[in-house]
Amino acid sequence: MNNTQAVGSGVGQTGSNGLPQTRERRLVGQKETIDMNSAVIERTAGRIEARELSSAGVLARTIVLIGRVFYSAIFFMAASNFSRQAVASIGGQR
Amino acid sequence: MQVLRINWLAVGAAALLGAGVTSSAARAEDDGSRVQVSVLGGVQNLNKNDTALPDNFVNIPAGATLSYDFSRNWGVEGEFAWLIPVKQSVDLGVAGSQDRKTPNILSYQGSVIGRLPLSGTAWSPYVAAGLGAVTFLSNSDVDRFPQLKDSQTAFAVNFGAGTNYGLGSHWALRADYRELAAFPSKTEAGLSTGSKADAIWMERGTLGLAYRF
Repeated sequence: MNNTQAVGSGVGQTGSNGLPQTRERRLVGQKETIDMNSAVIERTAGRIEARELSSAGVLARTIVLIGRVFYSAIFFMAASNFSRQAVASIGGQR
Repeated sequence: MQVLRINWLAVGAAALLGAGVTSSAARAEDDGSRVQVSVLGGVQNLNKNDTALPDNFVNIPAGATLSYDFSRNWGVEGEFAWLIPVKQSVDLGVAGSQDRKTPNILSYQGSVIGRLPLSGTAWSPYVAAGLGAVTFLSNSDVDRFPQLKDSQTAFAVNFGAGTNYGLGSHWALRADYRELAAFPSKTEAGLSTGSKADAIWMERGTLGLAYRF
């Protein structure tokens, strides 16, 4: 059984307990993975293992974050231009 | 993360629809230069999964594209990219952290592009989506992960967004961010485990130059 659940958001944020906020919880068969901002906790058949992200993992998350900012900028540009054109079009019809 | 990817796909589809609404009006402004080539380089992340990659890998993509615009807003693009492996410290689980790099990876994709040039500016943002294949070239060196005895080609899809910034009548700077997913075979060793093969998700950010003929 695969089950992915987003239980939090925000990179670098901390929860009320001061710990990094949980980003995602995945359940694949017997293996449950809780993905934190800077660490991963895995529980398999009662055995719990926690480890910090590798440098590749941190870099990968940075790339994803940059991508989201980039996407946001692109869609903001496109949406603002589209609305400007729509307003101009309505104005032209009057 | 999967939920967010689906959201991005929905936003991309909405933007494409938006581009379509303005396409008929914009066609009149078509300047006739329809073919564009570009060269791009940047960073590409291979996300870890449960059957092939125990940790993330970050490589350097180098690629070239050829696109043809049917109208001011719609076009198609073919791309070829070489994913240059970079050795890095990765977490291999029980084996601990080791310096490893992926095999060389080739990517060939065909995409539909929806452009929405910003009137009165040099910016030309676009959204893109397409499909193709990714080949993981064979390499069984000890510093490679996964080690592949034979090359493996997997069906792959891509979607994302980018922008051109015109530098004149022909040249433009181009920035592109793309999500790719490759679906390797469940039966071949290396990219599968126990007759299961999870999709390999990749994020790629690139910068480059484009030339419009």
